[in-house]
Amino acid sequence: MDISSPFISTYYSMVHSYLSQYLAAAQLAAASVIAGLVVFLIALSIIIIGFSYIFAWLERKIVARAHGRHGPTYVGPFGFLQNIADFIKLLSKESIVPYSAERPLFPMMLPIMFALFVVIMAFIPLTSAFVGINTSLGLLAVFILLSFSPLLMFLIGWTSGNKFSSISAQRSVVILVSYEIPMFLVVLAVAMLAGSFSFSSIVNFQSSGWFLLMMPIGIVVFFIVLLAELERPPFDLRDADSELIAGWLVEVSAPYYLISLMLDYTRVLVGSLLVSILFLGGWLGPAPIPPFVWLMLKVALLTIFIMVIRATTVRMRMDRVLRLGWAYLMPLAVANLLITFMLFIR
Amino acid sequence: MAANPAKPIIEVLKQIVSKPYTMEYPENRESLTDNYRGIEKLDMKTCISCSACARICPNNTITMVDVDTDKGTKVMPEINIERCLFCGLCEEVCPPKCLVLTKSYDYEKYDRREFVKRPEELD
Repeated sequence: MDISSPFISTYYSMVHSYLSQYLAAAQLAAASVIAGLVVFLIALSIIIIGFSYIFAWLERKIVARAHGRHGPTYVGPFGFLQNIADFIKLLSKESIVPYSAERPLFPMMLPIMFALFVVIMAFIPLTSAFVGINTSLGLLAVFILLSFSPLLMFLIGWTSGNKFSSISAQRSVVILVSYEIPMFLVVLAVAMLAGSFSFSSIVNFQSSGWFLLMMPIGIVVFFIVLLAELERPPFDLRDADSELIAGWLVEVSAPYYLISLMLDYTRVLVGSLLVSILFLGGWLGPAPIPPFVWLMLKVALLTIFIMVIRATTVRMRMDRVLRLGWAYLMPLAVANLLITFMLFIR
Repeated sequence: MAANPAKPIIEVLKQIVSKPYTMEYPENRESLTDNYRGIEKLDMKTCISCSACARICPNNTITMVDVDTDKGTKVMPEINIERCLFCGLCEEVCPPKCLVLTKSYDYEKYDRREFVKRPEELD
């Protein structure tokens, strides 16, 4: 059987050789595929949960230091176990779904949105071997899946039946839709330069030089657009605490709030993975350090930069966000595309 | 747009690597000046029950109450710390210097009534 993902196929062949003594051919194939998938899913969930945990702790710590505070200190060394305490607190609270909420949709939307980003994670390679779904159109698949997020985001806010959530969802949709176009233009330039939509070949193409050096305008535009797509400050109009009272999360209670936090951290993981793979050479790096560690190092630096930006900037006004997107980033993205074409393709 | 967009980020990075301004309260204390005036302390053995502190107190913070000692019942100052403005007049006027202001500033209580300190609690 042909499986395109090297990571799954390794486990497939391991389980296959072990089970071939006991099972018939069809059952054997099914069992081996399921075993490979389960191993991949466990590895992926360890990565997502581990990243979310460290990100949540580090963000509280870094933002606190930027304010001249201590941040969490009491639970565990440097307050590292604070998030476990918060996790237990959130799970022990009551889950309330308001009467005005759309009954089957509202409780479903947050898990679906989270699942969407887990599926996106399966498309993104973490090393040349560790890929869930290894297709030659990985880049396209990821950005097609990303473009579902405005719809789901809107449904989360709108189905809750709260006016603040609804306003927040509308803002979210406007920002996500208008920033998608410059993002696609930059991604198009990357794909054009590498001559492929496959993440592996984009990374391999960068062994001679990172795309960061080839299109400096591109990475600036992509990073700003990414902050808007992740709805991190200064583009966090979705959960503007002072006007919308946390916006889309007004009616979201205990376990769903946990999912919403996990969702935001997973989005940051997806975003920083995309930047490091598309522009910073992915898992490529000098030999003694393993490729996965190189990639995580780049992701860590990017996420710390995202946190520093959160501590630095103030929330932008809605019209200025849109003006920045349409009047500055869009022409810059087009210029990036043209310059890349002129210098490297023609 | 700011003249140098990188400047605020550099300032925040400097702030992140520098020490925090706040202190973790119960373990670490501020270094106080010599003339800091905090919660009162009473030496019940040397108090002569003259009521000078109660008369000089501008806020009527101090009331003289009966206290049973081994030499019989005496009147001694009971202080409502909530009302005290820490002017230090009681300390100044006290003839045997038995009522002094310490450097303690642990005012937190669960109940307002706990701010009224009996002489035994001030000792």
